Amino acid sequence: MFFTLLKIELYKIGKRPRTYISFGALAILIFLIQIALKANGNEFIDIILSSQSETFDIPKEQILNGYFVCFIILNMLLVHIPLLVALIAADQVSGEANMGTLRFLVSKPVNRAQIILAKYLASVLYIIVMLIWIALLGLFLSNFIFGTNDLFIGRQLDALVIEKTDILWRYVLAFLFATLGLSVIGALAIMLSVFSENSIGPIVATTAIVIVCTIIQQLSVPLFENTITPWLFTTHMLGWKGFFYPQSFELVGDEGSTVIAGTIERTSALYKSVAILVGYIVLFLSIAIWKFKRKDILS
Amino acid sequence: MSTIIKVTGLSKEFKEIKAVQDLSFSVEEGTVYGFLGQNGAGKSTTIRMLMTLISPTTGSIEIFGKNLRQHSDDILQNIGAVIERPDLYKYLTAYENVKLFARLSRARPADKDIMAILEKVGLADRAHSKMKTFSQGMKQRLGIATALIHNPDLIILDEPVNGLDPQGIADIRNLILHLKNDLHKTVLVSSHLLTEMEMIATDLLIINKGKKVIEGKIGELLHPDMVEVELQTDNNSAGLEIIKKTDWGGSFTRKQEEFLLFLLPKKSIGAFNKALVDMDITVLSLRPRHSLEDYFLHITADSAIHKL
Repeated sequence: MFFTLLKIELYKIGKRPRTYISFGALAILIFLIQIALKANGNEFIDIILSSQSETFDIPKEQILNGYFVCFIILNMLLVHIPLLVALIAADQVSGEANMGTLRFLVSKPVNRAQIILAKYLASVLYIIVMLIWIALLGLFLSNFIFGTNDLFIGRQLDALVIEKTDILWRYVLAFLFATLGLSVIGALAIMLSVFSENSIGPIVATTAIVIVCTIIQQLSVPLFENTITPWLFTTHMLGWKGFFYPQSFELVGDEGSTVIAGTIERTSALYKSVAILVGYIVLFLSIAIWKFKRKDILS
Repeated sequence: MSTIIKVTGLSKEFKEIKAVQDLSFSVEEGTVYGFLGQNGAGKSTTIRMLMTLISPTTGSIEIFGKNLRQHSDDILQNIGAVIERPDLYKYLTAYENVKLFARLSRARPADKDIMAILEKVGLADRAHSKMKTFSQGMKQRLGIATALIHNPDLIILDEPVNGLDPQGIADIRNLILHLKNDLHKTVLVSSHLLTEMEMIATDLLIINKGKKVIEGKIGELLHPDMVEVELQTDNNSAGLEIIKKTDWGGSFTRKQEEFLLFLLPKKSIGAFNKALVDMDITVLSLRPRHSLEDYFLHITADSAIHKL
């Protein structure tokens, strides 16, 4: 019965016009970034290089490639995608309550926990499709437009260059990690959705929670940094960047450092982030199921 | 004939509000069981408890001889219901809605079965129109189609004629009678429309303020041993004074518009008529009231009085 429920939930998501708004919005944003970088990519790279303490002798044309453009796109978009996830996931239960269809759904011979899990899994599949869409436009289309080359990554204190043969697997894992991070947003939105009978409340609440957590995380004060920030899901959602920070070793003399292909700098931090994100998903879904099983459907 | 629904001591409280209080009733196989009460009487709350949408505060529900709490999946699989408004998926077509709800009821009807059920409710020609384009009557009929598609033995319809025009009401009435007479289904139908109940129900439960007022066969309820008789004379006040001086005075219940109302044993109406003539009262009309509406108003008023 679970797979029937899942198919029905996917069918409903697929039939709703609002589903495609996200895809349209993402396509427009990605095209705008690509057009901007195609037109003024050199100026953009100048800005990035000017903030670096080190100097690089890589030609700007070489830096401006499809992999680099995709990295820029992910940095810009992944912060805002939770809102698009909330639009779908936060509507899953409360939207049905608001429409009145929830009482028809729950009065069928289906387990309430399965309803929540099917709705959640449908949301996760929606997230996966959305990220595939971003990958198609952000990675493959950018590679087609800008070509491929080594990836230049600028960090706060240093910068590094990853060889182009060592990049694709990092993107695959980064997209998988982003799926996990956004799945936390999906679980949070569904949990809030169970407590409400209209869609707007959970959508706003989900977005507000993400914004508040992000602000706390960006406030570099010891009070938060040592206590709350390490446990915020928004902190760990940024873990996808870790796949683009490989291990490196110092070259002899004053020759700087070079990256080691096929490595990740802080693997244990990534594992910890995965564990914390999974923990949040389990927590949010457990609360959602607990509440939904006891909820009187009055809508 | 077996018992399809058996409700015992059912109560539901929402904080301080007692929506349903100690309600017990049973529905027999093959009947159209009318669930009658004014708005807010507790009909929908009871139906929601039957459909596991809300949990009873106390009491038990057995359907098809099984405890609802312990066997809800098995039981719900064999029930088709339209609860209050037929709020289905607006962005899906009639055909898609019926198919979706069939799947949720663990049925896999063929395309021709879906079209047949839409034909039965008069929506075959709109099968592929989105529900958001439907009128209230069409939505109601589509709701019934989704309730019937998996061929359940028990059908629960909550206020099925709400918002319908006279033709729509007649269509739903005929459909319910078809379900009972031709398909031998058990139908529980709630309504506050008394005349509709009178036309379709075989059994009746009247509830008021969450409590059972009376339950029984509709024929027995409408033709009880005691009957309310309305009397109109050329001078009601003077006539009443005369009657009150006789043994018949104790039967007087109330005045209502141009009528004096008496509660009498059914077989005494003839004797009462003769007595009025003997008392030299000019009778303009004397007739028993037997419509469900009168009965309902009488019985719910009594219930309110008894509570006080």
